[in-house]
Amino acid sequence: MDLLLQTIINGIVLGSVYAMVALGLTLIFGILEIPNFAHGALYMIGAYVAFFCISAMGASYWFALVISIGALFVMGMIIERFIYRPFYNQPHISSFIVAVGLIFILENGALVLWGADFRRITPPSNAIFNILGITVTSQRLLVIGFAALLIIAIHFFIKKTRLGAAIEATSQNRDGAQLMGINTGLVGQATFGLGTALAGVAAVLVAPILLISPVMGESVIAMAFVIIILGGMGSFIGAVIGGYIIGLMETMISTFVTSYYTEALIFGVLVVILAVKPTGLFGKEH
Amino acid sequence: MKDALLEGRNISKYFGGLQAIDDVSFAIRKGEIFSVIGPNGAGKTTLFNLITAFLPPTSGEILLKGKIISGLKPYEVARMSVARTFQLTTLFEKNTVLENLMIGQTATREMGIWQSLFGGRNKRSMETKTLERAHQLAEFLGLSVEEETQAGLLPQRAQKQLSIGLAYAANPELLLLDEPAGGVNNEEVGILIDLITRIRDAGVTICLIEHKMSVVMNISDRILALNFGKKLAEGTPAEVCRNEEVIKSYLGDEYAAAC
Amino acid sequence: MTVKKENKKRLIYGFLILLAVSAPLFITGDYPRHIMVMCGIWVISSMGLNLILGYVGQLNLAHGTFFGIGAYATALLIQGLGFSFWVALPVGCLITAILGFLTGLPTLRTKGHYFPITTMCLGISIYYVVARWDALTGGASGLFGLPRPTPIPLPFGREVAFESTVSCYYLVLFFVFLTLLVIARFTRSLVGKRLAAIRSNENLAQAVGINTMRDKVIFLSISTLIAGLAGGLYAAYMGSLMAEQAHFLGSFEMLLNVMIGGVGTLAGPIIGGILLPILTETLHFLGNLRLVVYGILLILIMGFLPQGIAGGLRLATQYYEQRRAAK
Repeated sequence: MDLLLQTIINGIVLGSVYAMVALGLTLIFGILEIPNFAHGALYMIGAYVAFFCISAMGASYWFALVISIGALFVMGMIIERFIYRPFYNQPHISSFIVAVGLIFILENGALVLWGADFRRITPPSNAIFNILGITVTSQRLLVIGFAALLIIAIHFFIKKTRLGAAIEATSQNRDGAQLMGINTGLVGQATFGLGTALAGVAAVLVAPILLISPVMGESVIAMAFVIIILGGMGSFIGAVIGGYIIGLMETMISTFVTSYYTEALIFGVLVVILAVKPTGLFGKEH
Repeated sequence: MKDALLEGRNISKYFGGLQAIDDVSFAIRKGEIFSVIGPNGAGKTTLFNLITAFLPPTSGEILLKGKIISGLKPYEVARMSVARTFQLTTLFEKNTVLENLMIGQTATREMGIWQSLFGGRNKRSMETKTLERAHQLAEFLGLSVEEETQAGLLPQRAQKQLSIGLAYAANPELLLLDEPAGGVNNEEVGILIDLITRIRDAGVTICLIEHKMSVVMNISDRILALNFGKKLAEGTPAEVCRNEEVIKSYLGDEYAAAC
Repeated sequence: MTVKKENKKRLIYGFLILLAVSAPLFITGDYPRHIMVMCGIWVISSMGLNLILGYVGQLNLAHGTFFGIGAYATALLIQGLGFSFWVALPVGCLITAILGFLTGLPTLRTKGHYFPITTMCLGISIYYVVARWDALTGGASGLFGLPRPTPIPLPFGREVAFESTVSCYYLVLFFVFLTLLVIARFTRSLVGKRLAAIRSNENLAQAVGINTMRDKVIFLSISTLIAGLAGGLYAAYMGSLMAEQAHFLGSFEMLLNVMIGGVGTLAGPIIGGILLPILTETLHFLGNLRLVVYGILLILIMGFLPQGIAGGLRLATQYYEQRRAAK
């Protein structure tokens, strides 16, 4: 029973990470019209930026988090403007290939700067809580809580603010939004920055629990794709709910069935669902 | 209808809550030029998409020579001798005119993969025949001079001609043309009408979507008028343009007077 | 094309073939010759990716994984079941082709973004399976001790053995020519035009009667077969295998070869498959910085010379011919 509860908590932690990453990816998908392949690599960079702040500059965890958010927001904006935008008029496959180039640059850049060894970030607090008879570290609670707050905040941002409305309009119909006077270039950049920063937050939050390495983004991005495909590309709700579901599935399968072939199993589910319903579960054709 | 080449029986198409086609029945006779008219959004292109299986009907059936074809895949319908053009001129833009006309013949003459690897004389003969027919088609279309030009670089009128030729390449029995005169000026319309009538004279049944009423009234044998997905009238040009509902919703009094 | 131009082309091709066949004569030393063999293997794999990417227009990001599957399949057939290389290689290719076929069926049905994404996910999860299935693949430490291909008997009691690097070079070169021939046959025929149609506009291709799904799946299977061929040759030549060979990084590297060499051309993957491994060797001192440079190079090529080096050469010859004609 204890094991089950522990697994569920871990599942929600992982699900929080996935939900944030998938949400960021969905926001970007609305602008880019394809999912940003390099999203996982940027997630990884977010963790390393924080690591750099803490280890080289002696900054506190929270300061490092803020820096990481800012850095990733700016990176996202630059990448949209100078790397992806020149290819908007070309077939989508060009953007995919460009993304591969970006992954090359980011992953190997991290490898060159920090090496292949795993790195650690110490959590801001080592407190331990006792919930329902099992021990939970404060960092885990932090991840769950922060993620939930952030997701709700973004929901309100999109639905209730003018910039949020502009983002929604631009992602649904770029030309139409432009005709309405929205500066789609700037909005697109800002959205990209926002989505990328979300990934950064997820990475920094989870870094004290899992370890940092240049390839940490790879399995995350694969899962994020599974999530948004299953949840329907472009669906906010699909990304969030899908994130938590996949996170729970992954930890449950790892703990109780097999830790060897978890990814393959989840991926198999994806393929089966796609074969039956090619637009995903909450499918929204873009 | 007995000698119908293509028949639609009680076809309806819903997109979610939106009804694009509502209980439309019609029949196209062999050898005629059959036009579909109606305001924008009336469902004309949707009807074409249903006939050529790019969309499945929500209910109703489409029959080709008495056999049900609704529910097939688009390439299967194409292989049953039904060809089409698209509203936005659609060509294989990076290929030359000649190559487009060769690709267009796939429905009747397709090279197998094994054959392309190991075929000897048969392979060569198929390629020669395909190339020859492509030359003939280019001449028929009046595009012999531009044979080696990339399709995407042709002027608008030539692109329209090529898209018709692309559909005609496989010798279809039924040819569906979606606004073949769209975006073409009045002088060049004559060239396209000439092409269409020459194709009809070669024995092809033609179904046409067109907004230019002069073209429609001029060459059509029969007309189907749609509005809001519903059928308003079906009959000869004279019958249709005297139909009150058609006049009210689409033609306007000036055209009625011109009938 | 004029007769003079045709003859000029034939002369150039003949010269290049002669160069390839006689290369071991003037490239001496074990290490350079080893690079030549590896280049040959990468050229074959790149040609496979170019077939599905450049001609059919689909980005298979699991291409490197199929390379690994071919490598492991051939290796296991030799080591585990005692097959000779000459049986294991075709069977390994067949296995890879079948897996490619099974991959294509669900993933090629949808248009647009799903194929690159699902193949990338597939590549990642198969890599993890290979890396962890210790019993079958030796897990992270991999397989080793694979013998070279058994000698081919010749009349009069002689034989062709494959112990030396040079003999392996000729084995690989044979398959390079074979693959090139097969791909050229496909792409220069009406089938090639059909593929161009599918790549250009799938809806229109359907409208003219092309069964796009069938062609896409078949050519995906052929391209994975070629990847498996390269993998099998790799396994037999190197004698050992690690899970890294199935990592999707391999897909990225092949993508680099194809794009920089010239996607959608016959020469492109050959140029890329030779140039980039050599570049990697000469820039060895840069370490992982090389790969950062490659990433930048890829983006620059996409932006400024999307037809790659082969395309660039074609533009250059066109330019010079126009200038000559103008005189």
